[in-house]
Amino acid sequence: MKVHFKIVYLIGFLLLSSLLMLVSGFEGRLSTRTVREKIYLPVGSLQSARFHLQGWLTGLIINLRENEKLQEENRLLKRELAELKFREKNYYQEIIASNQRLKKMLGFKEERTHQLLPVQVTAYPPRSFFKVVFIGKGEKEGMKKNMVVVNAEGLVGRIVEVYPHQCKVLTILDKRSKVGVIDQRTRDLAILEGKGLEEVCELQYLLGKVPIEIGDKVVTSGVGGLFPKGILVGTISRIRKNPHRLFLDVEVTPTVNFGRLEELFVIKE
Amino acid sequence: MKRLAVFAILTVIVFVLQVAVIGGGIKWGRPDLLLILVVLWGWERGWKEGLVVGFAVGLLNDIFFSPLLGLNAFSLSLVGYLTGEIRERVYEGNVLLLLMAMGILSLLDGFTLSLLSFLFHLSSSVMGKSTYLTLITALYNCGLAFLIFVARELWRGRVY
Repeated sequence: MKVHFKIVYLIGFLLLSSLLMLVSGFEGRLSTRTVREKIYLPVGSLQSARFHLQGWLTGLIINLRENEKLQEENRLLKRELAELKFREKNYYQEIIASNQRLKKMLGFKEERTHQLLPVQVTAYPPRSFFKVVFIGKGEKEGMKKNMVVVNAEGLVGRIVEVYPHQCKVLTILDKRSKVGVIDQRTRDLAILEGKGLEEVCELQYLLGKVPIEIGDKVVTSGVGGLFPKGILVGTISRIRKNPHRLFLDVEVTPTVNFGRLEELFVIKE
Repeated sequence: MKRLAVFAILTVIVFVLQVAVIGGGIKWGRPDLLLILVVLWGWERGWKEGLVVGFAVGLLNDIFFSPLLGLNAFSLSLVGYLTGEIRERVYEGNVLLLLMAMGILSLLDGFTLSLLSFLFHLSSSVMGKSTYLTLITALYNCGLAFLIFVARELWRGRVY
């Protein structure tokens, strides 16, 4: 009798959870936005403080341990910087000018360079099954939905929820993320989709006869207008031909290390 | 009432620690403090409280961070219930049994979340490459549970 009582309890809770899943899954409208807004700000500040403390401690330890090495590196970097400045002043301006002239002659449209707004990751979800991160700038700082987020290594994702001082970024690893991409070598177009729990993405709609190879770089295609053209996404790490399918199974390993996201940039339209 | 206050304080501490201190660390895994809280609570207080605490902690996580309400609530309430069930059948002071339960329930939680994510089109496969991540999380959870168990025993004066 007692066992039945227990099972009824368990089934009741599991049914309630399932009902919530079905309702929020089908509609996606069970609004939890207000509570989220309230919690993200203090949690974000805490994580931001952690990043600062971590950075300060790391810097201190490196300074203490590698002072001499850093001085030498600094000297070399200064020399390199001076060389680059010299080149920029003497050669690059000329190259840029001639490039612009040639583009104009060929009738190319002037490409705009992206304005990058630096942002910091403020929080990861407690359980890492969904590939989203939170950044420490929001609506008040000019962030908008669908703005593209990158870092020095490549494409990170896009903003999907905007709060007053926080944003939620859907990374390209998430199953819900779809990005128009192109193989940099062969120029074949495809759709990049996250694989959810796995740390890789897959290319959709690539026909079996396309000449792609492992190691090919994949960049954003600019098709659809959401992601600017030419942002590095990843490299092809596995190709599988299935004789019963029209399209190839292609796996892409992102260039971004999603386990260590800290400093990001939001591309301003 | 006192127990509810303890639960509320512990939940806040665990959420803050998990989100703000432990943070990302996706590649090398990370301990799941929410699951540890649910398992230890169920181990201490039995199946009924394990079930309720699992549901509450899971639902809170869903409200704040998950794209699907009820996902973590489902998984953690199952974990809380099973912890209490296991405890009723074994000696609760045996740390090895607690660690075994923690390991198995961590794996079960990983599998349940993976399966539900797949069913609701949030993941393209069940487990797959994330298996190793679940295994590492289970190891972290066991390690932390051991430390908490020892600390608790010291607090109660059972270990000298």
